[in-house]
Amino acid sequence: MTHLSRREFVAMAGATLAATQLAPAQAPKLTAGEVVDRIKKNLGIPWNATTFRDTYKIGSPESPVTGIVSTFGSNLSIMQKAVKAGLNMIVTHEPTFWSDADIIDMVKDDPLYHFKLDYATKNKLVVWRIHDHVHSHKPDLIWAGWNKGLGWEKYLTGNDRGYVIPPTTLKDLALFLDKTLPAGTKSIRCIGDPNLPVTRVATGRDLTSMGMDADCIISSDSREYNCYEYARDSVHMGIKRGYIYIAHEAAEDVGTQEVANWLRPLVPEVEVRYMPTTDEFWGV
Amino acid sequence: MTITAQQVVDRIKQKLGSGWKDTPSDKFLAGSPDAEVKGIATTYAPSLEMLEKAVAAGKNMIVTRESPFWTRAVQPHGTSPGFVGPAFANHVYAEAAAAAMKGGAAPQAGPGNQAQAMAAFEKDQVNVKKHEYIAANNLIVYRLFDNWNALEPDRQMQGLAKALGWDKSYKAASGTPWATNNGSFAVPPATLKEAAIAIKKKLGSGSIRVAGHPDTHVSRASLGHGMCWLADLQKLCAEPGVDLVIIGEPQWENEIGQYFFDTFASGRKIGLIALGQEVTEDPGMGEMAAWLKTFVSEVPVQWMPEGDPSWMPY
Repeated sequence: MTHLSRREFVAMAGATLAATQLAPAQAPKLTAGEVVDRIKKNLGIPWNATTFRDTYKIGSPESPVTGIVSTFGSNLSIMQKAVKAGLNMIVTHEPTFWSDADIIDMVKDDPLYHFKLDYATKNKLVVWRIHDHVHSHKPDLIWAGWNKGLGWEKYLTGNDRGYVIPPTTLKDLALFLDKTLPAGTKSIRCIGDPNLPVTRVATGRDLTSMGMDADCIISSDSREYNCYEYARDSVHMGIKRGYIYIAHEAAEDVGTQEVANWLRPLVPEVEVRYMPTTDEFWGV
Repeated sequence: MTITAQQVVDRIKQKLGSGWKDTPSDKFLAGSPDAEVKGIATTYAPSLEMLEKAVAAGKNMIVTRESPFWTRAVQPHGTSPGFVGPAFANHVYAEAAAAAMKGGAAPQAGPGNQAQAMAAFEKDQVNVKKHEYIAANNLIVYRLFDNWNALEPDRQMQGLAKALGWDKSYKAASGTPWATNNGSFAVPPATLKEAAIAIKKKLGSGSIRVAGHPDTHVSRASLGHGMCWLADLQKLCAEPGVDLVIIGEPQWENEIGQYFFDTFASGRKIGLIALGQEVTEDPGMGEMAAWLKTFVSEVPVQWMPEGDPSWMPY
């Protein structure tokens, strides 16, 4: 904490005290640490203290919270929107400084790092990541959000990544995702016959998931040298299986809506808002 | 004069001299090193379709950038090459995949098991059929990746620049000309969208991804290829005067994609085009074929590009 923000913190604490004197029933000001404590207590699973992901990226437990944003990525554009909305705590699913472990060494000489950090600090933003624990939650909140967002809960098969959906085609299923996901997605890439009939769908990501027994694999943030190339061979062999490659945002952003819904009752003092992180890629 | 696959590789090593390094990537992935070579085909990644074309063209040795079996050394998630970070967190997808291949049973809760998934993948029908085709046709597959990448100038970058028609407009502000990610190109002034459409047509790609405002004016581009890590994108964005950054594939979208989105949100008038792996790497394999021809004269050497298999639904 800088001297300036410490002074401001003290000033704010004074303001809280004054408010308390005026209205004794009012609860003390909410801090990020209190929000995180409530999350940990209510997860229903033990907190893994060794996680490098689910930690503060900007701010600290003492940071006062005026409102909470649940989002996929703590992008600069999300920060700008959060500031505008007066919600200063960003609960993000993904990194802030562009590497999974937010390794500052990789960016400390980059003007963009300082620009982003300065913007957040100046606007008293707190960024806290919750990734591992929302996936470990029963159910996985991110996938629960995906199933709910697509209206696919009723189509789930025994495998929690598999669905039997009303008959469609590979191309129409891709278009359905863009239309149905709250933030849309304009960078979908497909491999296979656009008119391939599809009812059995599986979601995947890595090479090993490309061979799943389904009419269509929907895969996010997949590498081309393995997933694309496997798909190419599979289609060439005449296997009736199509592939839809979507952005990481497209797969997981909708799940952060579920995180917001889960979090809201835990912090009744402030607004908890799902703020979509849009897939900013578009295609030509 | 006959030549064996091992003799071809020995000549590659000889040509590279002290620059040659033994690496886990650069090795025979299929076939016998002692087999006689009838013809050589270079390609980005030997798909089954490409292999069939190679067989039809009498080429029995494939020199490739990527493995025909779709695997690479695993990079710890969230790191750049050279960084030894937290161990790769096995993803639940792999577990689901393994379960699905055993008959669709629901995956067990808890941490994933990559090794189990890969073991199940050994029996995957596409995997099995591809191994069978390669064996039945006595194909030899040799992967040349690290040692080719280590060459300066960067032949992959040169090949891509030529394919784009940009090689004559290259300028290096500092550093070694044509070193990977270094320098920039004066490109025909256009809007970002117009430039993307022109590039897509020129390279014959099925789908390219663009970020930035479609109306952004672009006239100077930096050029990456293949996998784009954070350090690559930082360098490409920092090239003096660039308003267009071309990359192959972002490794990972939640890191590289977001770095660019933040660059854009910070107010910079800049566009990004992600062309894909095959589109950015295959032209360099044409350079490799031309290079091999300079020291392998016994048999024909031909570049056999794969083409981009993807399409967009919009």
